[in-house]
Amino acid sequence: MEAKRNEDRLWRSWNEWVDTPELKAQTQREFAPEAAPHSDFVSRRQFLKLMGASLAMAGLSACGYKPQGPIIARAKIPEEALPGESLYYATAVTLSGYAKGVLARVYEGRPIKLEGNELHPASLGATDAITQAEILNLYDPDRSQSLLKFGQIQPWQVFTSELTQQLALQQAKQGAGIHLLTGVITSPSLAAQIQAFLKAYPKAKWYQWEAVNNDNLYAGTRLAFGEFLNPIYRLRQAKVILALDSDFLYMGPAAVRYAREFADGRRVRENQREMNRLYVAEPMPTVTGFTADHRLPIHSSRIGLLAAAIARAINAPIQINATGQLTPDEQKWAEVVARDLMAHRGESVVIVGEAQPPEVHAIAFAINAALGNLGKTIVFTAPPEAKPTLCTEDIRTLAKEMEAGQVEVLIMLGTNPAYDAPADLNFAELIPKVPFSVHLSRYTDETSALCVWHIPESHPFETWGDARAFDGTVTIQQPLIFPLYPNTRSALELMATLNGQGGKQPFELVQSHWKSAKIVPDAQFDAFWRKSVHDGVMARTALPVKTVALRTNLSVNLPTWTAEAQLPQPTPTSLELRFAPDPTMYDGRYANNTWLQELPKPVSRICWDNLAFMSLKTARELGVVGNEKVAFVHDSAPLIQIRVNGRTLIAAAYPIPGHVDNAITLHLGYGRTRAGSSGSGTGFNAYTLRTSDAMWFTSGAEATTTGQRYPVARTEEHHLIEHEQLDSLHHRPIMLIGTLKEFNDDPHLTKKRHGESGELPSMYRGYKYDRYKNPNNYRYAWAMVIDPTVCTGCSACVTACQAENNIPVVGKTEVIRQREMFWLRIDRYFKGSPDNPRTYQLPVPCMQCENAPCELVCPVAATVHSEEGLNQMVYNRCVGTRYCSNNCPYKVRRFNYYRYTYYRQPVLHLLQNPDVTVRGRGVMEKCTYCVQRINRARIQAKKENRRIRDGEIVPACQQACPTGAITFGDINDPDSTVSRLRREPHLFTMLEELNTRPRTTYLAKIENPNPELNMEAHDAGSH
Amino acid sequence: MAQVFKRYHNTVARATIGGGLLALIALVLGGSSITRSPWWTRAGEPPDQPVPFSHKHHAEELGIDCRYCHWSVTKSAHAGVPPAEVCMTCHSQIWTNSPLLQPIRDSYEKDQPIVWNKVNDLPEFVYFDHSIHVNKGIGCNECHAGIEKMQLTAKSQPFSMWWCLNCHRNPEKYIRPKGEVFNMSYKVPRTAEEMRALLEKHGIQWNGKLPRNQEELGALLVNQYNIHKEQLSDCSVCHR
Repeated sequence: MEAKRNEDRLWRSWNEWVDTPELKAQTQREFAPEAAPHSDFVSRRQFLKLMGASLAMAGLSACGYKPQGPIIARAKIPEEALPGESLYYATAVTLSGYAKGVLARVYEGRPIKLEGNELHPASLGATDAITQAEILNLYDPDRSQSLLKFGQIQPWQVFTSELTQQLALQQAKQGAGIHLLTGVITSPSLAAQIQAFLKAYPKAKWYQWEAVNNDNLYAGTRLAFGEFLNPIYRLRQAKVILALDSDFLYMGPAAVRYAREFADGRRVRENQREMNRLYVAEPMPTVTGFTADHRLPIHSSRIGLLAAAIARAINAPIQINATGQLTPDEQKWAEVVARDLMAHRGESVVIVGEAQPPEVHAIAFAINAALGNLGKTIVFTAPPEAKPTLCTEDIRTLAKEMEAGQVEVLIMLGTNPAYDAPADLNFAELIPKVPFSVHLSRYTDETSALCVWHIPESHPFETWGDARAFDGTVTIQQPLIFPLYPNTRSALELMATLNGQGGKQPFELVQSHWKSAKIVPDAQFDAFWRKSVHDGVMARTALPVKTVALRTNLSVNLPTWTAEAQLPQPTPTSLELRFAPDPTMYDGRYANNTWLQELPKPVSRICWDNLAFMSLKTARELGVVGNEKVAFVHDSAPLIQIRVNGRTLIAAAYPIPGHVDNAITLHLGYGRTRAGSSGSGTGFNAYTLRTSDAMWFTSGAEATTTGQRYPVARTEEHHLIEHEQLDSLHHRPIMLIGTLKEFNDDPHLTKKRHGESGELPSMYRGYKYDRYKNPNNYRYAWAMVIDPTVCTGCSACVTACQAENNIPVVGKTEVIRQREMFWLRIDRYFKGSPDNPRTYQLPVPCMQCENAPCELVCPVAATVHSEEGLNQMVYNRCVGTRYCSNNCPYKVRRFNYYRYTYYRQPVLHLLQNPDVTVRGRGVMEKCTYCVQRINRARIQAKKENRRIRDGEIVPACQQACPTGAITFGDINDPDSTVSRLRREPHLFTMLEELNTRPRTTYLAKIENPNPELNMEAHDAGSH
Repeated sequence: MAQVFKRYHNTVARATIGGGLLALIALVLGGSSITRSPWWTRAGEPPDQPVPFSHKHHAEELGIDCRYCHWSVTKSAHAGVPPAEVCMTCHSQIWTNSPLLQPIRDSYEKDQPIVWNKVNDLPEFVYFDHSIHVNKGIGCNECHAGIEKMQLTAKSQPFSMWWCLNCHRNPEKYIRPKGEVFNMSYKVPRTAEEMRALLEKHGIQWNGKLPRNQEELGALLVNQYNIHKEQLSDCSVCHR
């Protein structure tokens, strides 16, 4: 059955790959069977009564509007504030200590949206999904608001007096009993406070712990160069990139920048016909792997062998002792990649991920050195962290000391070790042994529950602070809102309290630190400070590039993964178990952020859960799916029991295309018990299997099915475009895919289009948008072009859209009913065998059709065409017939089955964008091209009596996109960026045969495969 | 069997059908005229306010420009209710002991806002921007008609959708030269001399034919101010 399948066919899910009749039936109907019915039982008689009453009342309520409610003007108004206008402030969002610069839009004193900061090196004007969602963390109603001692609310005075007492006791023994545990800290002012504290208590100790950490990287640089170093990649110069188990386009403090630089080397245009090439070797597909030109599924434990093979092929100056064999295919892959790397000396780079052991990092540095990449595509600085350390060593030492009873005072700033520390340390059991434990955090989480004192932490948007970016650049974090809760304190304030500076304002603490740092002479400090705060970056703080040299006679011993010794070759009965940071939960800290919970994960398209991912073959062998015909239930997955080293975990299992066989990948960050009302109790806690000697992968795991099933919100089969078999061999393709070579031969890719294009006759009313082309007439025709060649599927646009447009979260049960509300979805297509398919990502917003099928069927004219070509949605007219959605071939309309935006907690009202209507129950909604931003720009331009400039309107999705894949603008202006893109030869219209004339169009997806590695999928495409 | 229905039942039936139709029409007409009436829209009904502020006194008798208090009207969607600070620019010097102004003084001293009651309001799904209207020649008292005569401030127009669309479809009926937007006593010129004077005063060019009335003046201004009538009645202009 599988052999007969056309290899060129695109498929979106397992059911589509198998071609189940159930899925076919489902794609033919607009609404999933479970999306439509209403659960409440209503008798016919009651139904008629209700309908009659609601008809009468709807008629009445629509009749008039009376002014009501208060109007509250400020008593005094700051100089720069204009009522009704937003102000933008530069600040930074931190993750694991590292800053990403943002501009926060603050409306009437409340921050409502984050945009990238173009001046910031880690942002370059864009953000990622996690950064976008940070605003929701601020308003999270589950945030801790009070000091707790053993769970009882206490005033600050009680805490400070107890603290003073404890510190006085410790003073005598120079603080020998005091232990600080923090996350990774880059903040110079916080670090200075900690150093001052350690000076006052010289025997006190400071440890840092992050569950997702740089240990392997630092140990690798120490191995290769003799010191801890921070590598920075310059991908714009890189023509060939090899990523070994590294998700550098998505994870890490510089991912947004790397994605931009990577995309800049990849934008294929008629007059720009070069692109870089990305090779990825990894066990489970990641955003980076899905973007690669060649992807090799390989076990984590065998990536070292692959690196060694490449190192040998290019004569890297490193002695590698390893046993174990690559398969012939892997060997060939390594050789071809090595040749390609050697052909691009100084213009290539090898990147290794955090999960790989230090030896593999060292091998990669040696390869980069041999290729002459050091100082070109990869440079080194000192680590931006205040005290670079190996986190796993730190937490292990601390646990030992706690065990031994040496810890009398434990002060934890913001970490959650009771949840995420390695399982073998039993950290949760050790905390209660500490007589005086203090935990500062934004939630009363797993660790808070075990501590004597819990101190509520302020959100960085409520206070002053600072943080460094991946390259050391400092951002001053400024408050965007008055603290929501009076008792919260930042880590900086708590440290100041410990240092006896409790009365000092955070502003003073930060500013005085930088004044004493003497970056500029005192006389210039005020101007320097103002500029730093205003720009969101502090000049002269980026760390200098270090000249480094590989240690001579460098030699590494790769652990003998495949010999009979420690780690046997993974087999069905001895699986490799991998841990990876969750794409949206990271290490679990975002568990209560519902935007990130509901965001379909960039690779798996699952939301609200983590699953045990494996290959289809392994899933069959383990009995997760049937052997003969795969029938995938849309709303649940089987539970399996995973056993490794005497630890067990029950988790739902799901196969994912492209996963390596005989391995299971678990994402960290789920299965929390005290995350908050939304984050607790979802998913499975992978930390229970993660031990300090195997932080990222281990072998010898076993898995058996339990016979039970677990509900799973799997969005990959939601809102499917109905398209006959997605068979580009016989039909017009859903997306245009070609190789760089094919593009160079024929930039129109005519052969692949399968069908004539151009003006088709239509029975629709002809709108004439170009009658306004006179430049003195300020008339516009809006359009969008999306470039899937550079789209990585990172989903930043989806969350940005959600934040901008007040899109509600519906919850897991509703998502299972296919009722998620995202206006912008990212379609994921596979091509070829599920062992290692080619993958394509396609963001799909509303197409804003010129011949819009939705408009014709609306009985109340709630969706109508605008003069500028927008397909407008008028919420207040909509009566919810859903005909429009039924008639939409692109499946971009979303219906409010319930009143999803209904907040019991008033704090969430502060989050809403005042420029966008909050939709009620029974109303259809969809992407508007951010019409509020269009209107704002149009009003501004009209006031200034000019045309809207190209690039003046940036929709939220385009604004957030790290790779610049989305372009919006006016096609009545022939010189606009979007007009120029629409003239590109490889422009492609989705479902062009329907003659809807969409305003959203796509460029072809261009790949750059290496002809030496003729992967089957590429072969099949070029007949 | 005797006939159940007598002859007069025909009349009853006709009356019922006809009367029913009439009643339905009356209900619709009555309903719509009731909801458009000031009784329903509360036009002309001043709500209670913490301070009985008189626009008549300040705007007309004293001649204070609208923008002195509502300074954001030219730049922002909101005209803005003035903060106590603005009131105190004058009232720290005059009427300093007036009991009526006590809430203002309290607000200023304690930095606590005054809670006013809304006079004009729009539904949440309607987006109105003051700045674009006053920048394109729609006078304050087109919508806030008679504001300069009000001792107590009341809504003076229904602010219903048909009322907005009246102007959005035919802006030439209401538009005036930009320089006259804040002139509360602006009148459409009746004579050619007045018209010429008005246009010259505001430096408005006309091609040969001097406009004779509001329609012609409006058409001239709509053209000169680059106002696109077709686009003005797009739904997304106000609903988004």
